[in-house]
Amino acid sequence: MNLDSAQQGYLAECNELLVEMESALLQLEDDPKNSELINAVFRAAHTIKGTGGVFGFDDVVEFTHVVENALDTIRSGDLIINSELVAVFLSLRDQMEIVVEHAVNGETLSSEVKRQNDDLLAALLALTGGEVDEGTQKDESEVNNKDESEEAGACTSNDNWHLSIRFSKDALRDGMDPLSILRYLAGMGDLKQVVTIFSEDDSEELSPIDCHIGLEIELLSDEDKEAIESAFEFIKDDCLVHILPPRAKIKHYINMINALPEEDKRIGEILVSCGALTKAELEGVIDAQTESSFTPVDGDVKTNSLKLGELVEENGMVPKEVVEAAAAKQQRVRSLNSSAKTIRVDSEKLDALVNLVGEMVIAGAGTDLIARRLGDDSLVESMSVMSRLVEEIRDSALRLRMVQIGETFNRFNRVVRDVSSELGKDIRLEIVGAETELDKTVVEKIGDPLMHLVRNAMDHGIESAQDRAAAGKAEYGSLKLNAYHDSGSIVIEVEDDGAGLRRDVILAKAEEKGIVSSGQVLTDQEIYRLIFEPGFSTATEVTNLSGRGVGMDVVKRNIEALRGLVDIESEAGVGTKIIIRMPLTLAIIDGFLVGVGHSSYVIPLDMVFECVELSDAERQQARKQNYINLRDEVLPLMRLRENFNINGESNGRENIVVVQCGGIKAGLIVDELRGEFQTVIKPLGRIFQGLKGISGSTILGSGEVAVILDVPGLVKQVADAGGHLPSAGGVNKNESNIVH
Amino acid sequence: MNEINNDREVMSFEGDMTIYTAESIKQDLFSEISKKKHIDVDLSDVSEFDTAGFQALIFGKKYASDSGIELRICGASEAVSEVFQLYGMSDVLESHHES
Amino acid sequence: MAKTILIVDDSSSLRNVVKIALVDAGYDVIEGGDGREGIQALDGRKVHLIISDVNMPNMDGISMVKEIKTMASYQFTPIIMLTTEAGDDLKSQGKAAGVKAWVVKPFKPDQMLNAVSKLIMP
Repeated sequence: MNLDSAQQGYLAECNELLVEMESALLQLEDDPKNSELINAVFRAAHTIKGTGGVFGFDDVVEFTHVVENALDTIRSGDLIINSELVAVFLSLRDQMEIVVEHAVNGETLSSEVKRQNDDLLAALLALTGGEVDEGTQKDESEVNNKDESEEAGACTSNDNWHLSIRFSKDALRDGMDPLSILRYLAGMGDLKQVVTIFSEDDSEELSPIDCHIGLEIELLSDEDKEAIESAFEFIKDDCLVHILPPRAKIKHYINMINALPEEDKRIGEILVSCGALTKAELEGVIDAQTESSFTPVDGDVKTNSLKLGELVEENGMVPKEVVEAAAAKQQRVRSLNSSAKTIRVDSEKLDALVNLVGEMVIAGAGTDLIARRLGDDSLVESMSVMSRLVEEIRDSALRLRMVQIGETFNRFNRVVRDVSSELGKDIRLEIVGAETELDKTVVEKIGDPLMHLVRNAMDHGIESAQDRAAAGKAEYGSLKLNAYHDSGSIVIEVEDDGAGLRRDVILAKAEEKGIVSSGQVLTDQEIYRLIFEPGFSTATEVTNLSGRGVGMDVVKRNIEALRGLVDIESEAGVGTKIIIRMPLTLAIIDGFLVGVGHSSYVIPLDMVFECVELSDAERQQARKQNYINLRDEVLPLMRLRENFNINGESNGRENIVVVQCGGIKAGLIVDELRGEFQTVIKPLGRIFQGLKGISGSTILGSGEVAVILDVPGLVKQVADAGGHLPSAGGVNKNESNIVH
Repeated sequence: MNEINNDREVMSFEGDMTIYTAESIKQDLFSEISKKKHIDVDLSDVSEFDTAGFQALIFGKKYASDSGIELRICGASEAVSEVFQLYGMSDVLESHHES
Repeated sequence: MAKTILIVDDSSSLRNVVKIALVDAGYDVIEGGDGREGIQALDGRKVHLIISDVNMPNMDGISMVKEIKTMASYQFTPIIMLTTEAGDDLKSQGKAAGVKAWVVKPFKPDQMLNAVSKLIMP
């Protein structure tokens, strides 16, 4: 690991935190007192700042610091969050993203960005009433830092710093070992002399894990007082520390001796023995002490030690703080998403793993085949155990790539918020099925089409508040994003409660644009689907949003490129629902193997509804027409032999595999049912990518190549060709042409 | 702990003499001190030595001298020497080496 | 034998930077992403110092310290807590739990090394 990769890690982490922050902010708008949400926002800013500082990203620290402070006043309850604040924090959040990116890329902020920073922070401070920086409290010693050198008083001849420490009893238990202080001081200069003072109590009574040690130290060092003081940073609150500079005044030694717990005589001797004072100096000290002991103020050790605090060089520190009982409630911090506990893995590594598992599945199938051929029962049995394990590994490996769609959906909270204010509409977003999982590659690609659909629904679908009021609808419009699994696909719905599509307007426009010829009889469904035709746009006014030049046809194309399907339902005055059906695009699926002639085909098992054997009479009927009556239901048929131009006739019986997709059933006529088969999807080469009805290929255990059928595509072909099926009429002529 | 004869004993400590073990080390020392006239403490194999371990030893030494018993440190590992040196008490180790 | 330091912070990149600095200085480093993981990381091994953030998901730093203070093999391990200038209320809670050393975030790696050297040497 190096610093570069750590920086990239920081960037990724920030992006994650910013997403969390945004989602929490949006929820805070409805739930302004939710302390968990406030904490989540705070924690995001706090971590970005804290970690940024470690990298030395001063711009990030500077900017985020103000945001963090403001959030802290909210966290402490001094300020209640409101929508105005949420709006500012959202902008700040966006700006943080920019600032962080600059920092990680090593760019200095442009004056433009700086101006934005200042503007945003000013906007924030206007609302929070805070100051840019709460001027750091002046250090006490600094306040009292008047030059005392002029003050009268004899100086000692000692060239060393004299340090006197009495440790608290708990120092060792707290992990504060006096040795650490000595080692640290040794790094700052020369430890000329150390005198260790032990408690004079009965050693039988003393516990070695309580600290009974005092130190008198002579340190020769060029460091300044602040640096030397800093050695005691962690113990100064609990321990008695005196720091006397070289050539300190006798008076200061007197004060120190008074403050120390040992008998003055003993201390005096120690000071002489460690070289802090000469014998003569010590006598001076004793004389001065006798004098001062008559003055009432200095008579008492306690009073004296308090006075010490006022003096600069003598850093007389009595334990200031009695440890307070932890009365305060423990703050519980929980992240918003339970998924926060994650490991970041390069997706390429995952792909490699999935590929390997795929190879293992193939190899396993091959071995299984050999085992069966050999007829060795124990081998077959042990292979079946292996197969089960391989299956479990496969499932786990695939699950690694599955992500919840929630994160993608949550992005739309912000979009809906921003777009609705842009449009002046009050629109609320409802998210259902956020926990629905799908392959990461699909998630990455579904974002853009969804974005377009959401914008479109808000722009064209949902009416203005006046229109809604006139129609007797709720004042605010609702937009719903819904996701669920349905027979091996993921279905994503974008639903609005707007005015619905206007059949006549669409038809008129389609005729005008020559998409349909006038007089053509179309069902409502077919008409609604016209909006996906290239060059179609229903917006009567060009708004800011629809001016983007992307039509629904592009959405449809994008989704179809992912081998997905898009459909639409609408009811005038009630709303419109766009339904996207996507394959989970797993690298491995449970397949159902069928044979036609010498070729093998794989049908994704979860799309297989049932298998029906065709009686002779039905065969005759099926040959004439492309549907049969299956338990009083019309089942459109497709003969794979014809569809894939396989020569020869089937010998013996044919079977129908009834497949289901998107509520439509269709029968695929095949020669032979070969049973379930774990299928590793090998993507098709570029040449074959345009082929309808095929979604990939796989290698069977025998080494033979089998084609994986694109069931949704086939069902659509069948349905379109069928023409008379009520649930799915053929609209798209281009596609129909391909079928025939 | 290895006993050599009835009035002289060598107590060897090895491993950690730290806050986690100091209390029991003190107990061991004190209980031996009440039994013997001379005790040699061998610290050559002490790997970690902190102030708690140091205190346990110093308390033992003090207790021994108060009871008229001689307690000498006859061997010290580097970790032990460093601590005695920092506390300005190397002479405790050295003087006994000489004797 | 190198001294071992446990660092607990929910920012993995912060842990990485601190880790790089500490390892360069000659310490062994183990890590955890929150209090729970921190305790798991101890795993019976000898740990000479714990550096922990306060505000973390699942288990915050102060709860972690309280728990560590009940563990026989770790109860006296020195602890450095990372805090913000704003975290005074937390500081008093931490002190009650037995934390004496605080380092204010943000810090530079050198500042952390300096703070560490006040408690242990490599």
